[in-house]
Amino acid sequence: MTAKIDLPNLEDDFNDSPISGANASLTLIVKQISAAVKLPMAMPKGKRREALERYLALFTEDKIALFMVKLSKSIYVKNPKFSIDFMVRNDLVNTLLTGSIEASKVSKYYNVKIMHV
Amino acid sequence: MNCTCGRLMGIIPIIAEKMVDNVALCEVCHCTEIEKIQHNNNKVCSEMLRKLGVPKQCIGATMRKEFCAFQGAPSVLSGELGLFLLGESGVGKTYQMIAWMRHHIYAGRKVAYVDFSDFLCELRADARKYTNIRSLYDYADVVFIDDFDSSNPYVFEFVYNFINHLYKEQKLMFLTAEALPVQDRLAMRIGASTIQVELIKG
Repeated sequence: MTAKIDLPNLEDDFNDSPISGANASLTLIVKQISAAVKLPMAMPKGKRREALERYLALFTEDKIALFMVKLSKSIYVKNPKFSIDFMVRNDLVNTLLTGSIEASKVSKYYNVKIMHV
Repeated sequence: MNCTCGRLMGIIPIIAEKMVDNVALCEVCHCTEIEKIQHNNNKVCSEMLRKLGVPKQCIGATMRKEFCAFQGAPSVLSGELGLFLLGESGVGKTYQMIAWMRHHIYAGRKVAYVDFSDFLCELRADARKYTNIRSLYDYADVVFIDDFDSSNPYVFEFVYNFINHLYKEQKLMFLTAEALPVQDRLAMRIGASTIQVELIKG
């Protein structure tokens, strides 16, 4: 008689490279954001983490790289109110990358025109 | 005024370091003189730009039609308003600003060039010299400020004072920066005296 033993699916444990790859890139992005705004950032957990993953999935790597450059020169640097949550809620990637319309919002005194070069 | 050949004569500026004179010449009868004057103008203008401390790679910048491709360009061309060029690094803000500088030299206005990072460095070295530094630009009708930055809170009062001084004196201002200043006091003055143009690649 042989006992039926439920062995854990070891394959699943080793076949998690896509998940760990995503983890690594998410960690890297959080680190980059932290470096850009010069503030310590903790990796979000639970629903916040899911929201961040969903949000970042909307953009290409190039766009995210450009966003990091813009973020590091933006008014959010060393802004104590800045958080990953704030970034997702305010659609900061689009806000910083779209240009003029957002640039005009900086102050009511501006009326920015666009020139393509 | 008409030439002896019957054609209408054009007004050609003759640029010297301290003044600009205008002469009426016929494009056909005086073509060699016009060519000589234009060549000399270019030389004198480049020398003036070099002396003002303009980046060497931008000295040859000349005004092009596409630099006026924004709403409100006629008021900048006529010298009623200044210009705030914003955009990422490498998009050509300084180059365009120097082209505008050349345009104002040709129009006979006295120009000054301020490399803002140098301005801040001098200020940091000795803040007591600020009024002396500011007075260096008093002679100019048009002040060109390259790489403007008001984000440093430690020097903001000086930056504000400098812009406010130019605003009060009704000097024309041309600025380049990566972003517009967010402080309302500055924004009001810059918004009132310039047209803000964002340069976008592509």
